Formats: sequence, structure tokens, C-alpha cells
Amino acid sequence: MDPDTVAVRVDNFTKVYDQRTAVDRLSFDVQRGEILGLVGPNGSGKTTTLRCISGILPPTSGSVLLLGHDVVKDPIAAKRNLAIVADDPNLFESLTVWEHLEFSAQVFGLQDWQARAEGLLEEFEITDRRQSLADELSRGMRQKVAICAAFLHEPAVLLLDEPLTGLDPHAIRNLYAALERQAKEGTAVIVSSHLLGQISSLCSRFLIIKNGRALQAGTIDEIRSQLDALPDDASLEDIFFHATDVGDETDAS
Amino acid sequence: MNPGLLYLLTKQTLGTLRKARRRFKGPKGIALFIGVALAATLMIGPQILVFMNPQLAATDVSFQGLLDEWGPHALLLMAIMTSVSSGGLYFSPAEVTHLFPAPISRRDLLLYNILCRMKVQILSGLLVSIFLARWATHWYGGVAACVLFLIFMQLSSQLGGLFFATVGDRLARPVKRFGAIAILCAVALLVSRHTGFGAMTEFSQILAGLESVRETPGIQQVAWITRPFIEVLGSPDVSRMLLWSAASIGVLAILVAIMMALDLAYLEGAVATSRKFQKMLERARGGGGAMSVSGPSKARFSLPHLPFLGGAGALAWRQLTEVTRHPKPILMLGFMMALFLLPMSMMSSIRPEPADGFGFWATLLMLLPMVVMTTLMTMHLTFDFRRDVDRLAFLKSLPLRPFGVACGQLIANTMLLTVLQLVAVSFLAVLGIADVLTLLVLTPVLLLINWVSVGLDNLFFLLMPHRIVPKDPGQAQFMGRLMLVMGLKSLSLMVTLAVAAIPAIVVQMVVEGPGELAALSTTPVLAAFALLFTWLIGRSFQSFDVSKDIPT
Repeated sequence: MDPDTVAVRVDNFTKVYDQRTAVDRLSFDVQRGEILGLVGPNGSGKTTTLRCISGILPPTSGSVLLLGHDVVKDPIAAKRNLAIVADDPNLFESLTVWEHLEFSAQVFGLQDWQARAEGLLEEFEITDRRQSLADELSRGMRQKVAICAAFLHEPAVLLLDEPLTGLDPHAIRNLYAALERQAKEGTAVIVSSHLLGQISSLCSRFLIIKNGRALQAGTIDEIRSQLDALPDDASLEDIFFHATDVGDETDAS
Repeated sequence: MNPGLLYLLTKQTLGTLRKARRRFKGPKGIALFIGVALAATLMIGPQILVFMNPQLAATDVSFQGLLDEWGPHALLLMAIMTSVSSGGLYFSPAEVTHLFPAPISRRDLLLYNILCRMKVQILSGLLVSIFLARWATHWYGGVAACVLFLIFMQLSSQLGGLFFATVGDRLARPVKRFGAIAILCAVALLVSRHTGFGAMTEFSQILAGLESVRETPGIQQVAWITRPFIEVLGSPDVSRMLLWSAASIGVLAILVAIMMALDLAYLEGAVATSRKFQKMLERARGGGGAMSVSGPSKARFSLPHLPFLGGAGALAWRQLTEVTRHPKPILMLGFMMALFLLPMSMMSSIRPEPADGFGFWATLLMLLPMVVMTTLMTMHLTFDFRRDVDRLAFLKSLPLRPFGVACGQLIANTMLLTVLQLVAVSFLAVLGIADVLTLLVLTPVLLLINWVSVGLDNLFFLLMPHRIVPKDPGQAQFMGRLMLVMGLKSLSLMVTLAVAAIPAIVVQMVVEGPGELAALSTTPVLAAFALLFTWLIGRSFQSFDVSKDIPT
């Protein structure tokens, strides 16, 4: 694996909770500068996959490499280049917005981070809430704080689990712009979302999973060409329904 | 340690103080501050008086001896129990989200977890010492012992948690569930066989047997682990207290060092524990208090509908239906009352003769502890506004008058308390200790007292919103808030009962007749208070701001 090109390598990754297999032998790569859309129905293993990539949970088997560092064997080096925006924007209730950014800066050992933090607050339109405590913020505002904290150390790998929930249209547009900018600078981004219409234009590649297994992977055109029954102008939503329905039939047979 | 973790520790502490300061702003905040100051004075004042009075403060010599002999063993047993019953290492959702994916080592995270919880234990220790320090030789020893003891328990629990989050995670479910019980049973069996408990019938024999176990060299040696904590409590002077405190801190440091040296892969277990615990807390917050964390029962029978009564009937029906679905807190309270009743039922000396006219006072004597107990336990019976902490917006959207909503929300809990009290005292009536007729006459009085008691709980809840369980375990402000509410409630209830007692005293002096008549004469005053509180609850509900998150 060349860490200059491949930012994330997931190899034969399996996660089992008690006796339930949440993710089953999943393998994929994410190149630097790529935005991968991780899509699948509820309970398909998207959040588990992101949690294992970020080192929150260890894989039951298989490996996850971030810039060549194994997230289990060498977690600190692997996590140094990583940020995750969780599906639920859990913040520290007694810390202000600014203190969350300050905390992030401390954890990642950043110097002269203030200007960038100011810029992020402005970009996500929360400058006026910098002294607000986390529990005084709405869900959308909390999400914005979590996104700002994740962007602060300019991670090489950025994971976003349902990042659009609670965001207003302005914030969604700003987030897209920021993600595209980060990707151009070489960040590998993985976005998990149910809002297929929203992410289809953002992501350069997609990975459709169901019951913890990969059903389809590639660009929209590549997946479309693999699915014969679909018309040439099929949207991501059409592809998703077709792929997951075929998955159902395969499971049934 | 990662500087980010140190920053977080400091800022969270300062943030908690800042939150408290913000809460004391404005007229409502000032009123809250006065309430807090009042409750604190009521709690701390009597303790200071005890300290200042050498005769009251003097610790019983026999108690000191008992503590010296049994204290280390009891403390050790408690630590073992805490350790084996530990659910695992807990991290808050924010900690999991922000710290687990960060470049922070497991050891740093564990140390952070220990320090974070220790901070809470220090505060709790100081709070607890207000009430327990009087049992120490000197107050400073009492304060230090309380703090050190709670930290010791916390570390024991975390050590157990670390084990269950790693090794325990690989154990089969039945082993995990019954392992601790099996270990305790095995130890009890061994002790029993060693001392021959089975053949003992006298209490003194059992005590002698326990003493022989205590004197076993192995146990004596192991008890040295906890002896410093007991010595701090009984220190005769400052220098001795400092010496034993240092020894206790040494024990704590060893526990921390063991945890650090183990460096077990606890993260996944901690995530699972934290998720499980959060689910439990969510269920408790939204559904019936700390005693119903295991979820609703499978009972699905429906109660007959009540008359509309301005909407109160519908709301009361909903709450009563929930009562049938969450029997655990009721069974728990019933069990505690039974524990209390058992010795009372054996007290033949207070059994009245049928003809001596003592029935009323005996019944009252039985009833009073029941009322006090249920009044104190209402934090676990929350079939009212407190249960609907996350549904207040829905309640406000209903086309009902606030007074009707208030009545509807109070009915279920009031009925429940009254039925529990009546069942308990009826049991005593069957045994001939209480009088059934008196009980029947006193029922309306009981209903009104319970209405006022539940009403006060709800009034303070709406004025100072709080959840019935903390958002995260070990939140010191949560305990403080509960104590404040309990103090205010007790004070208000005492004032109400004192005013209600005035007509009873007058009737008793003028008529000198049956006590039942005097008791019944309190009903108009109690009814007036009940109406007043219900109206106030309605007003508070109407002005309740649902846009603000409810603090823990």
C-alpha cells in the first residue's frame, strides 16, 4: 500500500457483535482526494464500518489501515491524521463552542490554530455563538460545531456519518464546499448518508452495502454499467433501490 | 498525559461552575439561589451545632471499638462487592465521540476516566461528610475519611469494570450474569463450613463465628489494605490523620498503578457499557424513574376509561395505564414497606387492648412512618409531570386548561401512594395492631396529604426542572439538586401539616372526643392547600418554557 495515494485500506474487515455479524468481509480502498459515499439501508453496517475505521471499535477480523498505519496495532499514529463527525453530535455540555475547538487543538497538538478556527466558525455561520455552552445549542448548531472541530486539524482522512441531519440549506452548501476543498487538498473523505439525492453530486465513488456486505462499488457510471436492467440515466437512488432489491432476492434464494 | 485531556478536565470543572453561575442569574435564578442557600443552611446548620456541642459531638467509645474491629473488613467486603458488581467502564457519549478516535493512548484515556470520576467522588465525599463527620473522632478526620473512602470505592469499581470490559467481555452471558453471585455464594459456603454456622441458633454464636473468621490470619492481613481509611476516621490528632491519609493515598495509588500496568484493551467493552448505560438512563428519564430502568413489563391489559373531568380523567387514565406497565418501582416500594412492617408486626408491646380506646393513636403511630416513607420515596414514583419531562411540549399542545392538566397528572401518583399506605396498615390491622375503622376515617386525610406531597414534587419540578436520573452517572449537581428539592419539599410539607394541625388541636381541646374527629377536622385546611398547590402547578405548567433543555 502506498500511503501517498491510498489513504484508507479496509481489508477483509468483519465485525461481530455477540453472535450477530454487522459487517462481513468488507474490503475497499479510498484514495487521497477521493470522496466515497457509503450508502446502505438501516442496519447495513455503515456506522459500524466508520466506527471501526476511526478506531472507536476494533474489527473482529481483518485490518484497517490509515495512511499505512494499522488502526489496531498503531492506533495513535493512525488517528493523528483522522477526524470523524459522528451521527449524533455529542458535545461536552459544559464547554463553549470556542472551547471545543481549543480542546481539539490541544488533543492534536496544533499551534497557531486560532485564525483557522475563526475562519471555520465564520464559514459555518456560528461566530456569534462562540461563547455559547453546548447545551444551549440546537442540534444543527451542535452538528456545525462537531464539523468545525473535525476540520480544524486538516485531517488526511475525514469520516462523516450522516452529516446532513439537522443542517440548514446554507450549512449543507458550505459543508459541500468545504469537503470539496479538502478533497482537492488531498483529504480522503468517506460520507455515509441516506440522502442519496444530496450526496450523489458530492461523491466521486460509492460503496453500496447491505447486511454488512458490499453489493456494488465504483463511480455511478461504473455501477450503472454493471447493472444491466438500469437505464443509462439512472440516478443514484435508482441504482440503490435496484442494488438492494437484487440483494434481497439473492438473500432469499 | 495528552494536553487535550488535561484541558478537558479543567474546562469541564470550570464549565460546571459557569453553568451554575448562569443558572443563578435573573429573578428565577435569585429565587433558586435563596432556595439553595436555605436548604444548605438547613442541612449543614444542625451538623455545625453538633460539632460545636462537645457532648453531642463526642463519639461513642463502643462505636469506635466496633469500627476499629469490623471497619476494615466491612470496607473490604464493600470494595469487593462494588468491584464484582461493576457494570464496566463508563464514558459519556461525548467522550466516546471525541476521545476514542483521537490520537490518545488507552492508558491516557483510562487515567482521564479515573481523574474525571475522582473529581465527582471528592465533591460527593465532601457532601456526605456533612452528615457522617460527627461519627469521627474529629471533623477533619471525618471529612478526609469520607473523601478517601469514596475514591477507594470508585477505584475498586473501575478495576472491576476494567476486568469486565476486557476479560469479562469474552465470558459467556450466564457466567457474566451469575458469576458474581456464584463467587459470593461460594465464599459464604466456605465461611459457613469453616465456622459451622449451620448449627448455630443464637445470635451470640453467629457473632462469635464471624469473629473467628475475622481473626483468621489471612483475612487479618488482607484487611490491612483498608485499615488506613478507618484509621483516618478515628485519628486522635491532625498529625495522625495526615499520616493515615498518606497511607490511604498510597493504597489508592497502588490501585491506579495496577490499572495502568494492566493496559487492557477495554475500549470496545467501554463503548458497549456506555451505550447500554445511556439506553438505561434514557429509559429511566422518559419512563418511570431510577427503579424502572429495565423497561416496561409485558402486561397489556387496559383499564376502564375515567370520566373526562376537564381532561384530567384522560390524563389520569394514561398515567394509571403506565402504572400497570411499570410495576417495578411499586413492587420495590412495597418491598421496602414490608421490610419496615416486619419488625413492627412483632412489636407486641404496642399492641392495643380493644377496649382501652387506644386504637386511633396506635393506627396513627403505624400510619405515620408509612406516610413519611412514601413521601421520601416519591422520587421513584414518578407517574406525573416528572415522567413527562420529554413530553411537556405535547402536553402543552392539548386543548385543556392548565388546572385540568395538573389534576390529571397528580391523580395516579396520589392514588398509588394512598393504596400502598392503606394496604400496609391494613396488614397491621389484620394482625390486630391497627384499627380498620380508624383507617377508613383517615383515608380522606391520607389522600389529601399525598396530593399535597405529590403536588409539591411536581411544583418544584416545574419551577426548577430536573431529570429524575442524571444524564451521566456521577453528576454531583444532580445529587445536589435532588437534595435541594427534597429539603424544600420537606419544609413545605411540614408547614402545611403544621397549619392543618391547628384545627385538630382546637377540636381535641374543646371536644376532648375521639381522635378521628380531630383528624378529620384537618381536611378543610389540607383541601385548601391541595387546591392552592394544584393551581400553582397549573400556572407553572402554563409558563413552562419547553424550548429550554431540561437540566439534569
